[in-house]
Amino acid sequence: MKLSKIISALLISISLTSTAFAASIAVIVHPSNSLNDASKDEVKRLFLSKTDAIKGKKLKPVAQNNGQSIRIVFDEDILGKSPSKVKAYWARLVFTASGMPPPELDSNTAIIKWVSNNPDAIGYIEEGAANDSIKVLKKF
Amino acid sequence: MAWGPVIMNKKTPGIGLIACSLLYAGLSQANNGIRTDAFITAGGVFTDSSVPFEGAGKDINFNRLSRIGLQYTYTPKHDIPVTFTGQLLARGDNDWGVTAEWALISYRPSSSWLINVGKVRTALFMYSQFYDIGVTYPWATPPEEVYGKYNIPFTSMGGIEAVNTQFIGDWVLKTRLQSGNNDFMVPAMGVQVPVQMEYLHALQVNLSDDELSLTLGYSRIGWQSQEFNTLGADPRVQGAFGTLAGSSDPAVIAGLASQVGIANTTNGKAEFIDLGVKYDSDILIIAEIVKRRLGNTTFPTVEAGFVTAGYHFNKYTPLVTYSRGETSGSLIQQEQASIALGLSITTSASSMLKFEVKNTQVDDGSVALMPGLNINNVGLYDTLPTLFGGSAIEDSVNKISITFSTVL
Repeated sequence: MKLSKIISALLISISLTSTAFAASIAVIVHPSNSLNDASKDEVKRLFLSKTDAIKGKKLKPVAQNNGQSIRIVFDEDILGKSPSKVKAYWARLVFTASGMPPPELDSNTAIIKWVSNNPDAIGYIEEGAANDSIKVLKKF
Repeated sequence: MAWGPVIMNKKTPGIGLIACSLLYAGLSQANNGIRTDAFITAGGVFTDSSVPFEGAGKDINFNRLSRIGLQYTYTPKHDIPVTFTGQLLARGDNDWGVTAEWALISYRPSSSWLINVGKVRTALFMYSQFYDIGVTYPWATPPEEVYGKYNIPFTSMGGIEAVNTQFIGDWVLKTRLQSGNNDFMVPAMGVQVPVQMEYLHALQVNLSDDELSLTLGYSRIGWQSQEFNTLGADPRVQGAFGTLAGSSDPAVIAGLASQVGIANTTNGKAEFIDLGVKYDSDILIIAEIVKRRLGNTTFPTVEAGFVTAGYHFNKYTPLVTYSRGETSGSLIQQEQASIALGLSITTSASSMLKFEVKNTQVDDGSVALMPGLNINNVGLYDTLPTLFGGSAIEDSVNKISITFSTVL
């Protein structure tokens, strides 16, 4: 196999892997939340504190801990930044008293528990972890 | 290059206090309403010059670029949009003394307005507010020609700050207004001159999207300073002026000093103007030009700028920076141009390791201020002009910096 074909195969493989990860993210809210949909841009703005609401509905985001694979995929595919750029983004806000990042929890289970107990919360988990205690707002 | 003994300050209570606070930080994370953040930069720097340059000499100096900061943010109740923020900062080049860089109350009356009252970080230039947070920029240290102490001798002030944020499509427009005052020391001719800043009014506008950021800043400062009383008390300055005046009579010396611009300043005025642009995608471009305009004072007008170009190869970012600074309208001549080659390595989501090699050219040609009084340029060497007993300098100087920065 020629080198170019090997590289192409690797690139396609990486692309498919990334797509597979991206498809596994489920953005979740409390079951009582009236929202039924959200765009990637709306989720991005909310998790970067560029807005505090989606379609007029105020929400408080909660994020997965740094270093978790789903956090990395969420940062890169939804926020459009590498984890280090996301960290630098928040450092600029935190250390100028201009904003605070969402609180972080360390597992899908913890996110689900948090969201199911807070009517105005929004979080993200791996799609397969979703259960009836939360409402899946959007899959990416 | 000969590596001399490591320079370490003996004063460590500041480090101890911060370290204790960091230990406490781990515990306080659990306390409801209190958030703790920290930043650390540890670095070393040395030059090939026997005359100290930009705070570094031939012996590797671990203090110059190193600092540690700890920030507490307390939100009494989530439904009330008020927070209290305190930031302790210890810098190696301040002998690790701990200072309260911030102590402020924040009030957010709406989602677009934020009001900070207390001790706030001044926003004169594009990176002024992030100067100590190493992970927010790619250099080992921001270019000294723009961000050195001779251009910005203070970093915070007591006052009020209003920040308005507007979202225009994919763009964010942030307007920051500041007003306050501060007392600080300005390095001038090897002497620390006290300045009483009566007011600082600053406006900074930033327009950004995910990749492009444009910053425009304008600030006005009113101040008082006993420049002649301070500089005139230095024996090297007294000796030089005594020789030039041909007299040791203080009145004669004062008259000569006045002719070349050294006088006690009353109702001094200063303007800071800043224009910066940053493009950060695979390609990294950062450019900034600044002007500090002063009049009727020992302190010089400064024009400086830099342009940085780099490329992100995954976690590696090689970059090159050209920077230049020049002064005018003063007894103090500090002109130089530099080229720096750097490598920034993202070692984790929250830490960066950076290397930088910088060559600076200093034209030490003299400037005639008046007949018989030529002042030679010393760039950012830490020395007086030779007229005042300073050391002879090299036209070319190399500086090597290594830093590791993280946020916690």
